[in-house]
Amino acid sequence: MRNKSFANIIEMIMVVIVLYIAFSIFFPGFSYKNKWNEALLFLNARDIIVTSDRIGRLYDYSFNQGALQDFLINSISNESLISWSDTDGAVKNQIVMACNCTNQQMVNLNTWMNGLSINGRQITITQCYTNLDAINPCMIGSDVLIIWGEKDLSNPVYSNTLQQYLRGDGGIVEVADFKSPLNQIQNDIFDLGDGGSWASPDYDIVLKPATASTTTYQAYKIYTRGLKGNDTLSEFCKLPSIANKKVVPADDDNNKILVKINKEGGSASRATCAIFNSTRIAWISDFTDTTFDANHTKMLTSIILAASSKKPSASSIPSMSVGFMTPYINVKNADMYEVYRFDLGLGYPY
Amino acid sequence: MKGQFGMEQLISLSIFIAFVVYFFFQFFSLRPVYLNEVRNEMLRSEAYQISELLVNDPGYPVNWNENPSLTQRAGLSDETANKANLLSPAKISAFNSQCSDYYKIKKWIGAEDDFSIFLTDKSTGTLKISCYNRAIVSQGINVTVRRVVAFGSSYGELILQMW
Repeated sequence: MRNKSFANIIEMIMVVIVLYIAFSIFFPGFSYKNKWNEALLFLNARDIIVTSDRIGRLYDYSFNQGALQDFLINSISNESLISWSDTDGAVKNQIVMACNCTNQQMVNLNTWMNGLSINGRQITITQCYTNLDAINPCMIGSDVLIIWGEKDLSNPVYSNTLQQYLRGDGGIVEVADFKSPLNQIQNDIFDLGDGGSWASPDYDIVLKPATASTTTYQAYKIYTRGLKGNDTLSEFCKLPSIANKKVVPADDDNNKILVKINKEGGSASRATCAIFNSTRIAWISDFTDTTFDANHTKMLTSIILAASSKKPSASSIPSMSVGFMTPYINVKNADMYEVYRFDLGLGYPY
Repeated sequence: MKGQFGMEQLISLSIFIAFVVYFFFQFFSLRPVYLNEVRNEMLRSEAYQISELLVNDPGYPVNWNENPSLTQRAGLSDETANKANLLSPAKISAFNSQCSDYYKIKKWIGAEDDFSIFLTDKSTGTLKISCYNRAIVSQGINVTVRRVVAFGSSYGELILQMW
């Protein structure tokens, strides 16, 4: 009898334990979670961007980290917030060029692009030499590759290297006149074809792109609105020498031409000297073979800026517990028209 | 033997009662927490709505600052520019001048709960709006919404607290 009672008690205790566990599973402890802090992050970021725009400082804050940090520190009381920002679609403040050039050509590029300014902000250029077997990353990754001079790119290694480079965000600019027939890689990558024999070329013209989606659009607006100013148009399509091959887009797409000889009809009109195969791949004839002026160097600068990478660098995002990025499309039209996306990130470190 | 409890029955009944009491207390201890969270959620929603009203609504009539006696709804947005987060300096000044009557402001912004509103010019550090009821003792601030805003060529932070 005593043993039976003891067994019953054990039974009951076990039932209670089982019930308790079952209740804990089916009716878990109360915890109320909300996304209020995350919502406030969104709200803060949007307010900061819009307010920057209202006081006319968004462009400055987009490209000047120091000024943005000062504004953030001054405008928001929450000191525990961490922030980061980036731009997408605009020429970067610091452009890294990997250059397959001679020392003199690198010196020239440095001279021509020194003190460069777009819409009131300084653009600094950093160069490093690269061969074409493997593109030099220039420590932090290059934004554009310059190939200066007539190079035999028919080597498959070069072709693979260039294709691989283009799979990143960087652009390629080739500066060359061709004395030899154009090989297949010039066609495949740069879309360059033989323009036939020289006739009697007339003066040069910079072609106004038909639409903003045309591949030459950005270089055109940088050249005509940003750098060239009111200078007269230079001539270099018909020069330097008729010994050079005439070059045209291999697919005869006139939308790819930035500069050509202004002569309608006949073979003479088929000479071009600046072609974009895409917004990131360009060729320009080597104007240094003959007398050149500031418009030539500005044209080259425009093409390099247009082809350079405009993507943000992912490494700028700090580590945090919770964070959100808020995008905003901004437009600046001081000395040239720029449309870009500004991203402001705010987050909590813990 | 009829009408008698055995020891095991007594113990099992005790355990059962303890078990029921435990869940009873659990339920009633959670209920106020839950209700408090619901109230906080409603308060957050109200605070955000009022902040949005102040920052992005011109009020009614849109030029209420010129004749505050006709005001039905107070908003600080500059109706001439009609841009997000851009406040009218004249409305800021008019709003602040009416803050001595807390209940009038409460009616203008449609607040159901008590609040305080501060707007600081971050360029100069001056307080542009200081609106709260000095007679009401705050029962602990439950919600704070901070908005960064522009007015004229300057900018500042609007802090709305509700409890």
